[in-house]
Amino acid sequence: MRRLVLAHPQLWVLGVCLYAWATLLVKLPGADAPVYCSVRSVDRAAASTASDLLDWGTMVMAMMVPLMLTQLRSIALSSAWRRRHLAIGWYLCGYLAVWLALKLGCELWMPPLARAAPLAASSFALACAWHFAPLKRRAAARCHRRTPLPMAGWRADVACLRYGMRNGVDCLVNCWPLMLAMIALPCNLALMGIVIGLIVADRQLQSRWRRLAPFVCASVALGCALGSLLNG
Amino acid sequence: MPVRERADVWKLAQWDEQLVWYAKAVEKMRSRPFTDPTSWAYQAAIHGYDIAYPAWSALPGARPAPAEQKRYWNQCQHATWFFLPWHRMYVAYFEQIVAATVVGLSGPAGWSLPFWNYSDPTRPETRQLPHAFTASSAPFSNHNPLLQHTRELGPGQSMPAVDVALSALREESFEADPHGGSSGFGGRATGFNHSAGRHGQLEQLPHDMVHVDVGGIMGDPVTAALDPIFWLHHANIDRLWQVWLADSAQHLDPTASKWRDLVFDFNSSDGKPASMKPADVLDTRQVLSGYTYEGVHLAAAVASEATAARIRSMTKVKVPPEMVAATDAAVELGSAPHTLQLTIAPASGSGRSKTLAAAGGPGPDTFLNFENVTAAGTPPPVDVYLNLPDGESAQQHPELRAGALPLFGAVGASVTTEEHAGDGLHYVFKVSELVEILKTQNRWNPKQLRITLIPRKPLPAGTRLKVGRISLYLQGS
Repeated sequence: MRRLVLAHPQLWVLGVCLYAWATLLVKLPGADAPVYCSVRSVDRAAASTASDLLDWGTMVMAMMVPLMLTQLRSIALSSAWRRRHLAIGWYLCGYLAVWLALKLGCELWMPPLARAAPLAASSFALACAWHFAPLKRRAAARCHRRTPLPMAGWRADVACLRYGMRNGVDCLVNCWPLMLAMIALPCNLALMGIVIGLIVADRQLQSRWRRLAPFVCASVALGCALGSLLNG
Repeated sequence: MPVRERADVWKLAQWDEQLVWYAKAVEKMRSRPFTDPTSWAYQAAIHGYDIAYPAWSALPGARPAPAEQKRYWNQCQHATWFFLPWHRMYVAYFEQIVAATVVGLSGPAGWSLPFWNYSDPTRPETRQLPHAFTASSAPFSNHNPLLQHTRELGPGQSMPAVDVALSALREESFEADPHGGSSGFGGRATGFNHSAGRHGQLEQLPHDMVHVDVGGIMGDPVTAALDPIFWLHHANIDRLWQVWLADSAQHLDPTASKWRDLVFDFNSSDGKPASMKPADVLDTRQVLSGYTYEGVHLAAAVASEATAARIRSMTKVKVPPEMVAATDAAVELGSAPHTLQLTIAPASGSGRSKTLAAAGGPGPDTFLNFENVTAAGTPPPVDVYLNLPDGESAQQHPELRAGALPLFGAVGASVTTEEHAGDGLHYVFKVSELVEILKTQNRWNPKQLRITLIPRKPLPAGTRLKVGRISLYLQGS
């Protein structure tokens, strides 16, 4: 056990992610399920901005952070031993700040979405096209960047925070059409599963399997478009 | 047909039949159009291609369609655990193409690629380019297809012995520690990785150093395979993989599916698409028509799966190393030697060693890391020394040399592409033995380390060289 903890200083983040998933799973099936992901659909006027931000942060912790555990381990192990957890913490603060800023921006400036399904269909179609864009592929490559960090002191804290923010921006550039789907549709487990599956496929799978991602996006887009038509 | 044996080029006559046929085949392949997968240019472009390089833009002829280029060109695997298997496949298909070309020229069947063993300390002349590659003419022509005028290593010149050292053969594990520890014999676990990242020990030395010592187009991965000596160099690197496996029952290839089963695309000697994966090339006798190496006992190199599984089950996973010192800011290098001090913090986590406290017990393994090494232009290799005394030159203290940054591929690794973030290269030197030497010389200070970086040549105009971080890691036993 000691060996495991020594070797994997990022394990506590996994605990936080599991807690985030538990929160989502408890809240999602209920009748008063908060719409974690959709920014401003017509049926959620009552939600306060603060609780929205908390919900959105929970969703990001649950969906995005588990994909970064290897990177978090790397950050911890390339920091001074005594501040390895602090380094992870500053990095996560920077990363989450970018996603919270996106949420806040959408809350302030995005018009209410009366019809989510067409936008969701468009976002999956966009994700399909975005998969082939050089800008997206460069952002995906930058998601795996390794930044040299100072060993200790405020310089190290700032470097970790900035590292998290830069990767947050790259993540956003990489995945924005898929996140648009999350914004457009009321959150549900099936949607989260599809989006996570696509992001994992994009990041982790070998090149041949990764080529399937745009076809899945296209299929989901088609499904959303048909659903929208059938529901009038 | 019997399994062919690849021969040591320095044990062949200057113009042995194998070398004569190689030269004739090179000439023939150069005459083929760029779009022919069996042409010299196409085969070299599989390793690297960039029209911005004069060596490429000078070659005439229409290029294949962009989709074909994307699939087959710029595929070489560096800074990854695919470095060895990918180059084995690449060299095997090349050998097949040359052999078919030799037959097409009415030569004998079964031609095999010689290897350039430059690391034999009993034959220092082998650190020179083989004569057939420096002669101005060939037996069949007044020009020599194996000669390459851009090389910096001239006829009769030798590479430094330290640049062809085989310290990599002492690596216990194929796979690198991903966090500041050993680079492993074969490199770090990655997906498809064309350029940036951390080089494995064999890749770093002697592979990279031989590339930059030969210089010219050999000194850059984008153009290296245009030089005929490239293929003999890589046959030797491939041979060293076999030597490492044969050296100890503990030396094993990875068994992970993500290593064994990643498929790479090539073209066979008939110009048709072909593909291979690392699992297909673990036994060289089974690679295409099969081959062995002169002087390497194959039976020992191919461990049975059962033996490998038993050894793995007995091997304890090491805890990751602990970082105890690092520079606060990037280090920009110029032509002059650069000296800096690292303040070492006492190990408080995984770097602590119980045996360290015991008098006379072995210390932890010590690793010096050069992270995010980026470059532009044509940077020369940089030698690294530890605790060089004030006022004394590096030549006076060869025992204090930790290694060299070869910088092979550093320029390409410094530019963001669709494949990597432009983080540059990462080198690791295991300096445990050097630390012991410093202790015996009373030059070791456990709180401070002095590092001197000495470029081998002045940096040419327009060349930039930066080390993102220099760090020291300890790995307790």
